[in-house]
Amino acid sequence: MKLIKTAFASVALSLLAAPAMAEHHMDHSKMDHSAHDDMVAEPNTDADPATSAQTVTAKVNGLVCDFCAQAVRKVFKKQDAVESVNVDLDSGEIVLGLKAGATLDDETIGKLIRKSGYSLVSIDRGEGA
Amino acid sequence: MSFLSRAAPFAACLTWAALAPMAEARPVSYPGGWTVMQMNNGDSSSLHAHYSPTASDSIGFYAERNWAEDVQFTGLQYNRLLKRWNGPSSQANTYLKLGVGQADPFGDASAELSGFAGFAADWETRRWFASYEAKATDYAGNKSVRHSGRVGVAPYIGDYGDLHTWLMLQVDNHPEGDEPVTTTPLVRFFKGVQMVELGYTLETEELLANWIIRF
Repeated sequence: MKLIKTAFASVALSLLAAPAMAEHHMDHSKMDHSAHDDMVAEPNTDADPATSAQTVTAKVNGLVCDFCAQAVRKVFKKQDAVESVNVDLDSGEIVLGLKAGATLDDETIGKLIRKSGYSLVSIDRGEGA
Repeated sequence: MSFLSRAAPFAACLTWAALAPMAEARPVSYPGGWTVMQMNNGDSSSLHAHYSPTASDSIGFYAERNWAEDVQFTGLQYNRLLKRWNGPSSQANTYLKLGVGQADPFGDASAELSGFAGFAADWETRRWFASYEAKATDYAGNKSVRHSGRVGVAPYIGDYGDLHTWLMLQVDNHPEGDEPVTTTPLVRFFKGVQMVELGYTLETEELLANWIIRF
């Protein structure tokens, strides 16, 4: 019973600490990341899409968790044309940075998103810096 | 025992499972993805490692040591995503799970061909979660059916890569068990490719501990 009470207390403490940890983490995300990114391996640490030759933003339905984001990233990272993949769960968008001179047509992007298990809504293309 | 007489319980399980509702952590990953799930509660401990050749299928090893039924099961499990609904801010899924292998009853009894069938359904947004799962097992002739439902809420919404926390309540129904209905408050921590769940079953005063990793 002592073990159970200890475990229960641990869970309760974790419960109390988690939101504060997350808040701290999210506050950090609003700050300058230039130094932070060098120290912590975050999932979205691909090259900045703005520095890629071309960026493609795909609006996708069904992105609700990190496993979803991971699935999309793994599938697109296998493409030779793709330099970076960044997923924004808030907006439901995938931002692809393409390598210089590389192309990835809409049909292929749609196929890869379906292959990942999600639904393509729209694609916007923009030139990088 | 003839093949037909052995197959009959499985066919019955399949039929029943196809008609029943249910859910658990998503049993199918992305194409080429591996997943390891280790689940523990007062009745059993299990290990499931699977590979997903597509976003709709996974197949892998499943082992379960079940103290409630005094048996150990070892075999293969196949999971099929039956249908997914992708919404602008939600996702819902239905899954079929099938397992076949051998069950070794505790004691001197010899191993027997055994299996299970399950049907799962879940619905999730970044704030809310609900799932329902039913699993019918035939472990060495010992037939059993379990139902499990969950509701959950995320107290805050984290970005991709943040630590995500879910507060959940799980209700299990095992008609053959000493406690046919149990309730388990639990907390789920989710960060990157790892998910950990810790809970406490009120009626049996037993801990729940689950761990999932995808790579």
